[in-house]
Amino acid sequence: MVTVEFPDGTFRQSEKNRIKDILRDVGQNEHAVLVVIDGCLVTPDICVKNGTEIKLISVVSGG
Amino acid sequence: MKCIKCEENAVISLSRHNAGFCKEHFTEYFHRQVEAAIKEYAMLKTSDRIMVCVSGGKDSLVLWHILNLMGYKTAGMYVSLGIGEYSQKSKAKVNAFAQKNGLDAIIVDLDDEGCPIPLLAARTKRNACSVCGQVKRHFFNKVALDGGFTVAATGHNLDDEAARLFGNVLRWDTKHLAKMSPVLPEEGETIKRKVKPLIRLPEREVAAYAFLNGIDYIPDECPKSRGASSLKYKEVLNELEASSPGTKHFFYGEFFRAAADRFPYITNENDEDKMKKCIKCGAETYLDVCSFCRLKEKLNG
Repeated sequence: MVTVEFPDGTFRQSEKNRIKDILRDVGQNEHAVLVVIDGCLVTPDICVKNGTEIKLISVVSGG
Repeated sequence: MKCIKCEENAVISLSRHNAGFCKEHFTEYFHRQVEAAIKEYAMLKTSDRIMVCVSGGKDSLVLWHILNLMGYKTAGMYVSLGIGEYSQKSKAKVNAFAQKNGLDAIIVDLDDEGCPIPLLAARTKRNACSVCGQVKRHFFNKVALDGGFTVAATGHNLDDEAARLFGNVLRWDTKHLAKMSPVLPEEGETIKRKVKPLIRLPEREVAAYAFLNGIDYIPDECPKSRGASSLKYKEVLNELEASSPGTKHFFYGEFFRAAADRFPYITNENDEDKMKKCIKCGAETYLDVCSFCRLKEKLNG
């Protein structure tokens, strides 16, 4: 299970292990967020281990 | 995914280019995109004094950072909107950035001016974003003139402009379609040239650049922008981008090749009505009193 921290500070879990699939699983468009693991940016193609925590940074701004 | 330049692990993927970059080569790519936009549209000259309109958000601080790295003469100009904690936090980010980089920040505080956006919006019964745009334009023009700046630069990125184009096309708003260019010329005696050097870069790449280069910005959206149509348009365009990479670039870029000449920009010199000076503040206006001073009058009565 992978833990996903959303930009608003809430959490969700996903059973997927590829970032692209995790984002789809939690309803996030990969063009609307950056994905950070242990303080580093990662690309959507990488696979992560069970127990990994990933943080999402929203990139959408303005009004 | 590996960096296409050096085979290091990529930190960002650019699906429209079918490529990934490491930090070093993404930064290099990002700088090249800004330089290309400046060159393509003849946005800036080395002799320009540039007023960078900053909000404390990623786009404007990244723009200020890059123009400074490129050696341009810049100062930041920030309008504190009087929106509670959001304004306090964003002003602190601007001041911290200026201090860290040894740059000048010019601050206009709407609380001090007696016209914070929430109060103006409530008194005029208008949408806060619309009032905000009008007030910011007034102070951008005023500070640029008073400070002897030759050009005002804003951090609008590809997503901002593609969303604006999308909204203008949905409404066939010909007046605003005529103002889609990333360079708007100076007008009259007081309105300076306006440029948007981040126009080739999607906001995901701007956010990645800020993250990778330690630019500390306010990530929160303005609380008054919740539900704004531009955010909905961005969501729709991101959906299209996900299924068809490059859509935003194509939509925005091709507008200038295929359609922009149908919506010519009308300068004031071509306008039948001559502009005059506002009798209250001296800003250029078509009426005796400018739209900002008329807005302020509504606060008093």
